[in-house]
Amino acid sequence: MIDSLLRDADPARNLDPDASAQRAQALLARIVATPPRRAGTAHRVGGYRSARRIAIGGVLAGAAATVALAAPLPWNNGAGTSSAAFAVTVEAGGAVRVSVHWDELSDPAALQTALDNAHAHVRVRVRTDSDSTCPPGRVRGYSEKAVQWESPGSVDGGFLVRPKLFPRGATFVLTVTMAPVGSGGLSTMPPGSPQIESWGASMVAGPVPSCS
Amino acid sequence: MDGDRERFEALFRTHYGAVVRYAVRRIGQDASSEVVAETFTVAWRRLDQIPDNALPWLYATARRVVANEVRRRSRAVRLDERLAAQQEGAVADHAEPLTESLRVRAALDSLSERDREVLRLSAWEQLPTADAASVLGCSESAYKVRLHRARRRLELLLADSDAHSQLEPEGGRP
Repeated sequence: MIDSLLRDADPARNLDPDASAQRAQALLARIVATPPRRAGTAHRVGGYRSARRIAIGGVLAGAAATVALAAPLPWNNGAGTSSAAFAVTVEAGGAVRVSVHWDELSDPAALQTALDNAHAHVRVRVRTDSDSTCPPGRVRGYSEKAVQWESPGSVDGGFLVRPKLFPRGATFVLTVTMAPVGSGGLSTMPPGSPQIESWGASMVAGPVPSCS
Repeated sequence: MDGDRERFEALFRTHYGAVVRYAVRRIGQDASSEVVAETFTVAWRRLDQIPDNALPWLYATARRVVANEVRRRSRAVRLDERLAAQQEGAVADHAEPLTESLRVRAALDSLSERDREVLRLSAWEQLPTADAASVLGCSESAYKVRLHRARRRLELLLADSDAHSQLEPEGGRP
């Protein structure tokens, strides 16, 4: 019974990676281009700098990703402008690069305006109340090139979107969940300062529901 | 050299899909490519150490790679692939099955990493006892005990979440 429930909840249940696909073959070619073994030297598992050079982007088009932050970042919802808190830059071909200093962002609406002006097709939603809900909408998969994270798995470092590669009528939605004020945690901010608890990103076709 | 390459290519062809799925299940799609690349890079460099039954060895390697990556990220950000495709990934067309999957995954998330891993190896990788024990570096009997206890704890969590499900706000905690 338990195994059956778990199998149904398998996030890779519908994945069928193909070792003969171009991406996999490129990885294979890069690996075997290096010396097979280094006699007399110990290999350290987890040498990520080398792996990153070999890595060839996300394995699959991301349908959705949600990341919880272990080190809380402050999000000052109070007054004040924060023009230095984010940068939205239109690049060649209509790509839009978005960088956010989350610990300095005090005006999410200004970020949204900048995104809209850049025709980024990106929506930022903020959930401040743990009882509120942010309906997912019609989530769709998307290509790796449509959204490229500077630091995969992290909201830090920003991302590059190519709206032309989005599914028709889709919007890339970034949902930020605020930790309850005064909930403690690992914050280095003064007591009472709002903090980001987690964030999620997804591609949504059609209208993007608001948080309520 | 050619023999090494042929053996590695065969190993890659045979196990690429399983390693990708293993990585996606534990660290999410965005980061899985790095785990897969690193795992096979290690395999290439240590080809002479890989047993004929290579998959448990690859899983054990991938497990260490994932652990290293999570540790690295946890300095600033803890990757939580367990929540991938949950809150943001809900697809309305399949609401009921998805809700049940989310409930199971949420319960799984509540367990310790040790419990989660034995359950994943059993239910998702569907490894035989000996292979799963090999991945975890423990005896078969120890693995059986861990699995039994983990299943029991998951059952209790699911029973509890079932009793309280109607009290949870829609979407639950992200």
